[in-house]
Amino acid sequence: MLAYCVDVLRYDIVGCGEVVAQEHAAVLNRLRIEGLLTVRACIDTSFGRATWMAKRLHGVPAASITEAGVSGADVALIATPPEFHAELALPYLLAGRSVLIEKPFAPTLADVEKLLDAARVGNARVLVGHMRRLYPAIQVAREVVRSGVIGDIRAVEAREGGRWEWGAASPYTVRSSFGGVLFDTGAHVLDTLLFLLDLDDPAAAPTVTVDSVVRDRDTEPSHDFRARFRLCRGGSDLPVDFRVSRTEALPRSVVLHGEHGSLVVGGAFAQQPTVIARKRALRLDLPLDTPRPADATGCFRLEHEALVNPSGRPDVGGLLEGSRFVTLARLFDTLACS
Amino acid sequence: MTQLESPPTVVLFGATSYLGQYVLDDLLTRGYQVVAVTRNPTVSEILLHPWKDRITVIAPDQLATAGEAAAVVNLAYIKAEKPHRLIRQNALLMQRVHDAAVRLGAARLVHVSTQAIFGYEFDEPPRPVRAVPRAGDSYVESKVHAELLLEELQSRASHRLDIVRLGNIVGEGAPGWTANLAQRLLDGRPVGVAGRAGYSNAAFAPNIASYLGHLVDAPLSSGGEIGRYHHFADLSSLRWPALIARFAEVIGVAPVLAAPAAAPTRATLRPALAGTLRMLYGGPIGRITRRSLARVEVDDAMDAAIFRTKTALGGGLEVDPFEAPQDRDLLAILSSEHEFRSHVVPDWTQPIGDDEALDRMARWLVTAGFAMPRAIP
Repeated sequence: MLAYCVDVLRYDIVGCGEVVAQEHAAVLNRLRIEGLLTVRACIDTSFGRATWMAKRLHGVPAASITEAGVSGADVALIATPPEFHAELALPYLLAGRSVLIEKPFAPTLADVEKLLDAARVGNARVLVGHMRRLYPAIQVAREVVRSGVIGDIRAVEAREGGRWEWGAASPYTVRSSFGGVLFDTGAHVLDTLLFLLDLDDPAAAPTVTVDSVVRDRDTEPSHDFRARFRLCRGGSDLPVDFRVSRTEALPRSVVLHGEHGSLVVGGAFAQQPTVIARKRALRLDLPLDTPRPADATGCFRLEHEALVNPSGRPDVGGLLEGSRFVTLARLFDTLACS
Repeated sequence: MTQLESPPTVVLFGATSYLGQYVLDDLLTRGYQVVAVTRNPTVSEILLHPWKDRITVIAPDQLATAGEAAAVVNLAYIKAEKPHRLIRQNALLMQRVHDAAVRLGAARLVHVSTQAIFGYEFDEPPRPVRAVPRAGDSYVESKVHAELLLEELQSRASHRLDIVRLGNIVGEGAPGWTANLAQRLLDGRPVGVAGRAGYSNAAFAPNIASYLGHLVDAPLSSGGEIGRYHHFADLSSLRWPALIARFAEVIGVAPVLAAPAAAPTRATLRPALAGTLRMLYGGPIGRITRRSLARVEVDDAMDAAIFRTKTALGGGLEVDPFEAPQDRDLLAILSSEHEFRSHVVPDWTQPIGDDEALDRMARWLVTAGFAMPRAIP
C-alpha cells in the first residue's frame, strides 16, 4: 500500500498507454507544477510503462490497483482498454473517489449502469473524456442546430476514417471485441451526433432501430463499420448513415441535413463548422463569450480541471457527466449486436 | 515474368501504406509471391487483412527467412518520429532496405521517392538528376537523405537501384490529394489561389502501382536509356482547377480560392511561438538542429526536454481556436508554375486513362460520402 500525506488532490493514473503518454501526461504535469494536484500512483500491467510514467510525473509505479490501493487517492484517471474501465473504476467510485474515464465510457450499457450506480453509492463523480464536446467548433455547431436556422433535421450522415497509424501500446485493437473502430473513432462520431442534437440528455433518449450493419469482418473487432439506423423520438424518425473506418479515408464530418441547408461539423479541433446551402459553403465563425481551449490539449486540461476543481468548471463537468453517455452506450449495445 | 516452378518473390517495404494496397494487387496479379515487411503487427493485421491468405507478413528481423528475392520494393519512410530521431531512424530504414536487397540476392531495388525532393515550390522544372540536399521541412529532408543514402550503399553492391519519384498521389481514397481536398471543399477552405492555375503534377495510384510492377518485371538490361531516376506523374499536365472543379461538382459545393499572397489572419502569441519553435526545430534552420541532434545519443534527455516543452505549452486557454492553419505549403503546391513531367521507361503502357482515372475518383467521392445529397428527404 502506498502511503502519502499531501494537501493537494492526489491523482492515480490507471493505464499508462499511448493516450496518457501523448495527451494527458503533459497536462497533468502542468497542473502538478501549478500545485493543483500531485500524482500519487501510475498503474499499468506493464510495470516498465508504469515506471516510465511515474518518473515523468513524480509518482510511484504500481502493477495493479490492488498493489497501489485506492484509499490513498482522491481522484483517478482510467485510461486502459475499454473492457477494463468498469472493473478498474468501480473500486474508486465505491470508495468515494471521483474518476475521469477515457472514452468510450464503458463498452456495454450494463457496465455504464454499474458505474453510475457505484458513483451514487460512493457519492463520487464520474466524468467521461469525450473531449470533442469541448471543441468550440462543436459547441458553436450545437448552438446553430438549437437556433433552428437550418430548419428541422431530416437526415444525418456521420463518417470518419483514415488509414490506421495510432501506435497503441497494447494489441487490444485487434484482440479485444471492444477494440474495433466502432468503439474507438465511432465513439467520437456517435457522441458528436447525439450531442449536436441534444439527444445525450437522459430525459430525451431516443429509441434506435437498426436497418443494416456491414463490417469488414464477421465479428468484432472490425475496422470498417457501416450502419444505417433510425433515431426515434416524439413520433418522428431521423435516418442516420454512419460509417467509420481504419482502412480508408472518409469525410471527417457529421453532416446534419436540415430543411434549409446542411451543417457540416468536423472531427478535428480547428475544423470550422460549415453550412452548405445552394452549393455555397459558409464557414461559421461565431464569437464565443467565454475563454475556450486554444487547442486539443486545452480540452484535456479542462477535463482534468473539471475533475480536480468541480466548482471552478461546472460547465465542463456538466458536459462530461457520466449520465450523458447512457444513450451512447445503448447505441453501442444495439450496433455491436447487430 | 517468365514461368518458373515456384513464383519469384518480391519483398515489399511499406505495404500498409495507401499506395501499398495497389502495389500488392499489381504484384500478385503479375504472379509474384509477396513478402511484406512491417514493423507494426497491429497495423498490418488491420490493413493487410484482405491479403492475409495471399502474402507473407514478416517483421524486419525475420528477413533472413524470406529466402531469395527477385526484387525489393520500398514504399516506406519514417512518417511519425520525433525530429531528433528522424535522421537516425531514416538511415536505419534505408540500411534495412539495402540489406534486404543484398542478403536476399535481389537483382533490383526499386525505391519510391517523391517530387518533394525538389521542394514544395519548384524554382524550375524538375529534372531527373541526383537529389541535392536542400533546406526544407523534415519530410523533404528525409526523402532527399533516403535517396542519397541508398545510392551510396548501392555503389558498393551489385543490384540495380531505380529511384521512382512520384507526383502528388491521387486516387480512390488517396488521403492527401483526393480525400483531403474533398474535405477542404466541404469545409469551405481554400483549394487554390485565385489567378494561379497550378499544374496538378498528379499521379494516379493504380497507374503508379502498374509502373512499379513493370519495373520489377522488366529485364535488368532494359531502361538503361532513362537512367536511375524515374519521374512518375501521369496526370501532371492537368491543372488543379480542372481536377478540383470535377470534385466540387460531385460534392455539390463551389470551390473557395485564397486571395494571392493572403496574409495569415488573426495571428496571436501562441501560434507565433509555435511557429518559432517549428522554424528552429522543424523548418529550414531546423536542418542544422536535426542533424546536430542526430549525432548525439541523448534520446531520453531529448524526450524529457520535449515533455517539459509540452508541459509549458499545454492547455492554453483564451485564444481564438479558429485561427487559420498554415496552408502555405499546400497552396504553393496548388499553384505550381512548373510541371513535374513524367520520365518513364518507354515500354510501359498506362493501364488507366486520364478520363477513367477522374471518373473513378468522382465515383469514390460519392461512395465515401463526400457528396451532398441532391435533395433532402
